[in-house]
Amino acid sequence: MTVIRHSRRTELLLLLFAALIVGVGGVLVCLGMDLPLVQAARGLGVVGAIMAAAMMLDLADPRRDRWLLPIVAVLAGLGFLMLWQLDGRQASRQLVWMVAGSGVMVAVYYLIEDVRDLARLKYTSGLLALALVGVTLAFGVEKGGARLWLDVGGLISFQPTELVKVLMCVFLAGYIAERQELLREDTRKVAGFQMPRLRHIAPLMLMVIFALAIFVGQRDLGAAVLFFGLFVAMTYMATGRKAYSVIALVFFAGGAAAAYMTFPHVATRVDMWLNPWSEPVDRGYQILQGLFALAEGGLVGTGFATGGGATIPAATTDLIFAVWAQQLGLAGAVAMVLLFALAAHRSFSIAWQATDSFGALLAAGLAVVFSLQALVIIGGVTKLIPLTGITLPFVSYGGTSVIVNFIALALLMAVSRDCMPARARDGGER
Amino acid sequence: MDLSIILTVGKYAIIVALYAFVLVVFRGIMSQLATESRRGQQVATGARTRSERSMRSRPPARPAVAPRVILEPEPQPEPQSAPEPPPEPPAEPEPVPAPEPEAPAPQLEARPEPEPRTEPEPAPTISDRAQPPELAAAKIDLLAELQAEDEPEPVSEPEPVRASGAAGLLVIESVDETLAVAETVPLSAAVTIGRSDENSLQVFDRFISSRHVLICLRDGRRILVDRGSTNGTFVNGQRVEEEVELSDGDRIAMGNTVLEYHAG
Repeated sequence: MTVIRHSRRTELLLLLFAALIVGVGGVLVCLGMDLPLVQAARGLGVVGAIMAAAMMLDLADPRRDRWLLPIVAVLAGLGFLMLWQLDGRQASRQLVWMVAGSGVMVAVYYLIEDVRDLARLKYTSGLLALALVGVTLAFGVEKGGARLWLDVGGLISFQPTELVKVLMCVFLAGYIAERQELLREDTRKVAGFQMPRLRHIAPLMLMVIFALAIFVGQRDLGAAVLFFGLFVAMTYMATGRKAYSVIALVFFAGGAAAAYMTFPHVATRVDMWLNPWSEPVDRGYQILQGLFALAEGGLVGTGFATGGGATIPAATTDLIFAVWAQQLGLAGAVAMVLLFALAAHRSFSIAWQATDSFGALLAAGLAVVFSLQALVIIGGVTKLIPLTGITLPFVSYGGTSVIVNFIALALLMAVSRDCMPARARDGGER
Repeated sequence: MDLSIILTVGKYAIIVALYAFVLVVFRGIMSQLATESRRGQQVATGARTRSERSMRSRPPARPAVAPRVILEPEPQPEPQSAPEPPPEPPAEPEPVPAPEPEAPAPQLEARPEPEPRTEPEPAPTISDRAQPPELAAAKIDLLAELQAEDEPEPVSEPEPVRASGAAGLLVIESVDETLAVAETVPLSAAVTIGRSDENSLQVFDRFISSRHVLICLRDGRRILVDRGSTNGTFVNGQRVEEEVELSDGDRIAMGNTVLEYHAG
């Protein structure tokens, strides 16, 4: 038990460290924007909410992961500071979302008595995911060229795609965990590749193709890429067969080529990625402004409260990385990537240590979603890959995004609580 | 002027603090990983695989047995139910070594009594792990022949597999104390059997390959696929070439382990 007490203290210290970083940042923002210093407490509110949530999580069962929450606290806190400088109203709302998200995380953590029981809900969550996507497609509201928003009674607008990714993780993990051996062993040789029999893979393919078609129809390319990556990663992790990945890549290349030729908005993205200078004030505006921000940031950045990012479209959501890089420079941007890498590493270790294949696949799937999102948007902003709109987890502004990311975090915590070797149902206690 | 100096210093402070944070978390994660895997190595061979097994294909209520090391010779000779008067001269029962301090010998009383189903009398005690491979192989052959006599033509009367849920493997012979004789292992849509822990049914038997067989449902038929095992798989005495369809009551022999398939 000493180990637990020790790691609990470690988490608290790290959270205090995060509070220190965000607090100093908040003071700088207040100084720079000529606000009373008391307002720096707003930044601390984000870290404070996560800290309170961490303590509440420990009330019932202190055996859980100790590293994800501090990492998230730093990302969320500094992201909030960026947001604050760009748009005060959004920042106030984001603060509410962060507090609410921490509460939701605690609630989900307690509601799930044993994360392995979620495996029984795989079809429910799969169907729910499809239903959500379908409803959005039918009744959604278009914002910024993509129909992603659902207005409920004119009060709350809500972005179902975000929730769909967690539901899809549960579905894929449940489905694949149940059929792991079939997918891996009951194979046939097709053109030199060990292929699974169609009957095992067909439902999976159907589900994914359906989801992808809807996303492409919805013009939510980021989500389409995310889902495809999730699907490929999950099947590879479950079966260890490279053939799946190769086939998937072939599919992806074909699909991407088809989408490029069929959908004008896909073509726009690719053209602007290849040469944003062809239309610098029109279609290439966003990516160029992002690149300018990166350039202005230089090695160590311009510092807080220097008024960066005002010209970047969607600076608070998709392009928040550009603002971060402008204010903290290459050094800060690399630190952010490292933080995401650490979070991903920790999530994958949870998956790797999990004794239950559903728990392992669920944790790995969430880790893939997490890191793919960061990869797609950071890659897009830095012009490594075509820019597709997707949120940067915990950093971007967005109520649904924040809440859902906290739900995903709660699931990871639950896996780290329920599926570790020491918690095996029979024995193993030393 | 003052303000801009403060902002610049603050910016550097934040960047340095960010890297310090990353470093601290990284070191912490790594050291935790190291302790966990060290602890894991001690426990993994027994507890982890067992728990995995119980979650995947076993009823959860199992008597807790202390973790053990796989290739350790049995501390006590096991009573074994051989189906025939043993063809080989029974090996001398090993002198009982002192029980290890770490892994106490599993209690024989904790295990269900071996109930031979078709065999009337339990054979004299032999230590299976002391058998040379040739003897084991010979025994399997003889055993298979005998079984073939017992059940004249089980293959010729194919029984349709009804429900996949109720199907199971009855343990007839086992040298693995976690796989008790007369226990029934439920069969899901696909079960792999072998010595390594990636299998859904892990069997600690020296003569079973690390990936030995796959038993799966295909078009409602239960198929047994030999995954290129070293010592082979015998269904009713016939060595399985690649794959074979199972029918109710088939005897599956691998290494020193014999299982009986029940379609349920």
